[in-house]
Amino acid sequence: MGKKFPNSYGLFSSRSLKVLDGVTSAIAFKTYLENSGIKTSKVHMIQYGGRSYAVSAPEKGTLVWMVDFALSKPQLHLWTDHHDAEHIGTPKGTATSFIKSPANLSHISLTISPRDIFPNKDINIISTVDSADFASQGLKPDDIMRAIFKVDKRKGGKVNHQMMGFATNSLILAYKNKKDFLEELVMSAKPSLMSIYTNTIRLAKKHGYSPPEDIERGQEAYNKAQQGKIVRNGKIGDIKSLKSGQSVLINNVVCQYGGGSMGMNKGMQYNRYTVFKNHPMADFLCMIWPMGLIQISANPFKGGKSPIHLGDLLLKKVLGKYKSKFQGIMVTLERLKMIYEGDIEKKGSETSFGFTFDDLINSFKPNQIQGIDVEKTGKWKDIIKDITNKQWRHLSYNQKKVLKKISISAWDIIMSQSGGHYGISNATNLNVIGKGYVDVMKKIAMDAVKEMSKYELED
Amino acid sequence: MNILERLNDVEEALKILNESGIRNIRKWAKNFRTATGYFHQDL
Repeated sequence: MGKKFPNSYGLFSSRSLKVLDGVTSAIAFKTYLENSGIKTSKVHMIQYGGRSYAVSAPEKGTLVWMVDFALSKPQLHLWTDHHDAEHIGTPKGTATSFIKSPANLSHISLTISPRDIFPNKDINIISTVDSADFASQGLKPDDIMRAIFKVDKRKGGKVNHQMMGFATNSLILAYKNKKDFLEELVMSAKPSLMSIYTNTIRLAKKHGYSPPEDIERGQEAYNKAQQGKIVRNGKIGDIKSLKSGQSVLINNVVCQYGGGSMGMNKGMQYNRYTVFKNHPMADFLCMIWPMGLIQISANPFKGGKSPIHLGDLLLKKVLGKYKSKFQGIMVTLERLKMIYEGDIEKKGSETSFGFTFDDLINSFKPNQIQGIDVEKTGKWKDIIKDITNKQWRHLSYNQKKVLKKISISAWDIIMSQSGGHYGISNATNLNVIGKGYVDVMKKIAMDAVKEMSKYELED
Repeated sequence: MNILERLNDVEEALKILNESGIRNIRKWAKNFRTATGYFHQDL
């Protein structure tokens, strides 16, 4: 087994959340294996948090590969990732390839594979989007948010290709939560942005998703609605009373609570760049997501870099003040399993991995797990292991009672999946604090905004 | 990307690879005809 997951930064490596890298890395790796005679018959999208445990386990007898994800899964054979994290829990015999780079795709396409898989011009566009390198290229939110692509004969091939790439990105963002869309896209697209674009359009027609024209209209409606939710002449105390979708600018930092109306059923198409379109002068964003996530990031449309490591700012300086309080909140293994496996009920199945005993020992150091010595063998460990490896929804009253004897502090749970770098940082799992956690998140956000407003982006 | 740039990329990658590396893919191909893949998509 690899090293235990440290109480440190882990899972996010770029200035912005990745959009294209996961899909393109999967297409590249699938193609790489095909070129070697191994056909990928099924792919699964995986996310940090609950979706990580709701995803289906592989069928026996198939080679199992995983790209662009920092946490191990059982039965893995091939594993590659580019996140600046310790990769833990590598199953014995797994071949791994980890690299610290802005995109996993370029690593797979240019170094793992003996020959280029994606065209270089595509890799450049994907890197621009996923590293949010917009300001240096003079790109504005409207350029990135465009969902309709039409060839503009007045512009050269390179510009048209880039516009097609940005439209592809917008459409994937719009459709990514549609059931099985990403999986179907990975299975059907060839390794090029053009193929991903045409397959996205094809799948949208096939499944009756909103066409690009409606997506753009929805984005405009969303933008307008969000403009109406700006709290003017903001003061730091306004953060406490922010309602869904409201944003407030404090000096050079914009803080928003929730996404507001995000669904196309209401004619609204959420877009993550809208907040920067509405607050172009902001250097930084503090986003509070009600499910228990605070994300701080630099404005990718403003020139310059963050002079402060946002991971340090959020996870050490700001959250550090809450450390002893959160260390005093103990969360039972029963409750942790219930929270982590919540998505199994909604999106999972009987074959979902669940939060297993291996996940427990890979996520926490032995001294962070109270009620059991995970390093010692014995009957107690066997009982806990056996119960933990079952899905929470199938546990009996008595089995749940047993898991309540094992606990981990809220602090260790938060730190186990939070991460950060210079341009972006996430504090996640804040919902494990329990009742009143949203108010606590807003207090943390106020502290983060105060700290960030001491800095400006620098060239 | 020219060949020198690509070699530079590979060299940089090799410097910081910190694990076993994915090699001998043909050996894996002898044991497996089909595969199941997992890929990441952020929220």
